[in-house]
Amino acid sequence: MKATLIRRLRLARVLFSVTLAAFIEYRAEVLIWMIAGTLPLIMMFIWMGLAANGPVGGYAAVDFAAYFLLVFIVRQFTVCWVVQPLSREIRLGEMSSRLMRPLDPYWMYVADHLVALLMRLPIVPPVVLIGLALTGAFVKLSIAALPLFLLAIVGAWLIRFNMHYTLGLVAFWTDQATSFEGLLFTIYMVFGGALFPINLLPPAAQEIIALTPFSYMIGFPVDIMLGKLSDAEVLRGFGMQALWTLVFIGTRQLTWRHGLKRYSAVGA
Amino acid sequence: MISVRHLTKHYQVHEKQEGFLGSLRALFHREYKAVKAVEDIAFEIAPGEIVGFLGPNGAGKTTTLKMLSGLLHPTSGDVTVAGFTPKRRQREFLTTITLVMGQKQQLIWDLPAADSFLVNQAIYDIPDDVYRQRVGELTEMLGLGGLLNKQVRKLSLGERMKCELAAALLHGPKVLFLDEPTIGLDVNMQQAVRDFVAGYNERHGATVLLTSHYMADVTALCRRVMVIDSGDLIFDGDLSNLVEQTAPQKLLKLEFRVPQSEAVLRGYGELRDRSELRAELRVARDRVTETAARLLNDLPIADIGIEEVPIEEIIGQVFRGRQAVRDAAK
Repeated sequence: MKATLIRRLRLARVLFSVTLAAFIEYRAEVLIWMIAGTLPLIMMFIWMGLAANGPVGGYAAVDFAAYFLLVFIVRQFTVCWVVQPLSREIRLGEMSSRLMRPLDPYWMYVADHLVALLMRLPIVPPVVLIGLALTGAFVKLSIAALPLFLLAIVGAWLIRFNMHYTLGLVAFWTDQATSFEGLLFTIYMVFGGALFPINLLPPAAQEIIALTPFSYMIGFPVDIMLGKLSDAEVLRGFGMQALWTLVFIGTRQLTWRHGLKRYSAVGA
Repeated sequence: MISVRHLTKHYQVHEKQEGFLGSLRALFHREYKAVKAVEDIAFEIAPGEIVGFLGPNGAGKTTTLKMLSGLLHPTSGDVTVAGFTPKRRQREFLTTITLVMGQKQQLIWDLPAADSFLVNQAIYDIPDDVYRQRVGELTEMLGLGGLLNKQVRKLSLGERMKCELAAALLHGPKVLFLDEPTIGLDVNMQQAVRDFVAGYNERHGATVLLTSHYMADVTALCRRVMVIDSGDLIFDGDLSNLVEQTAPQKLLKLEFRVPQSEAVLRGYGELRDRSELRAELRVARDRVTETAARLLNDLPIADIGIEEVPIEEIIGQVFRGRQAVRDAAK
């Protein structure tokens, strides 16, 4: 038991440090990806402009600033690109060399993504702090909620990563997994609340969206940090995050087991 | 060590219309075409054996190797490798075997091979002292000195292949599946890889199953060969038997002191290659000494050599023969 734990910790340390070393080779690209993730900031300027002459749906310009700066943080720390490399490796048979080793390739991708988060750590928070200071949106944050905000980001990451990993595994059946990713991304951006706060929608629409996993991938952590949720709503939100995480971990494992039977290890 | 019975693999190749709608449709309704990659083959390989797996492209060699290493699930039949069922991919199984694919790589492209080695050490849970000893041994056997700390992308193809081999053997596997390990390498490097495989087999008693397009790999390493064509195992036995069975002739290489006419030479056997002072004759195996004696007696011979028909030619002959039979059947 203890030996297994030590072994796993050592594996995690080695995977992490080697992945980090490989990432540093690509540091310029990491920066470009981050610039590609600035859509929330653009949305912020648009909505601040619209709210310049008075609040829109209860959101004043400063509310939009706080909202979208938080969306930016959540998006940056739940970034996930696993569909592309995973489906490529399956389609082209590159998965074979990973499959020969006694470690689920899942963990190598987890390491990849966590390292990417680490690389963002020195850049994203300062950018957001500057943004908050310039727009005066600092007062809109509920600082006491910070630990819950971070926890909700972890939940959002778990849902997003496992959802995308499952989608990547669809490549075992069809070579078009990446075209589904585009569709998924659009739904995620709209339902997640990356283009506008879901609160602006009619209550019925809000209730439906609250049943989908997307609510808990952007909007939920953001609303926690804005202090918009009651204790009961926070509890319910974490419950939904846990539920959707389990659902996607389950479907990922099922997809993986069935997918391996179909793997054709093309090439070579 | 390896036992294969009634092993069959049919691929379901689905034919899909292009585009997103095509994919969506393919998710629900798919049109399949069955491709028979391997058809009811059986063999046993004893511990410590080195077996060569021959066949043209698409014959089913690699498919078989992938089923043996657990990458592919057989359509039917039984496979046992070192007591395990490969497709279950248990940790103990994966640490017992290795698969080296000449056209695939596991090393991390932008880092030195040493970093990939560390990852493998952690994944396979190799204790530090064992790890150091193995890296030392592999460095010595493969001549890796100075290569391990260079970025993989800066290595030559041959150097990279050596590092790939080392990475694939760090966990001390007992069964080696080598798929075209010498592909694309120059002659010296091919020789180095060959020597290494032979040495590794000798030192560790590892079982080796190898496919290669280079006959020299097979003749140098394998006493036993299996020949597969269109999914059927058509020969399994000693390399020398294959030669005797499928090449009932030997090759007489002649050099003359005085030019000889074609007509004269035809009297002795099947004339294959002729210039003024040289000729190659194919002669039935059981008559080769007699014919040689007659030639020496009758003609002004400067030099004479008796050789086996090159293995490439024999294999080619086997496959062409089968193709002709198939064509006739159509």
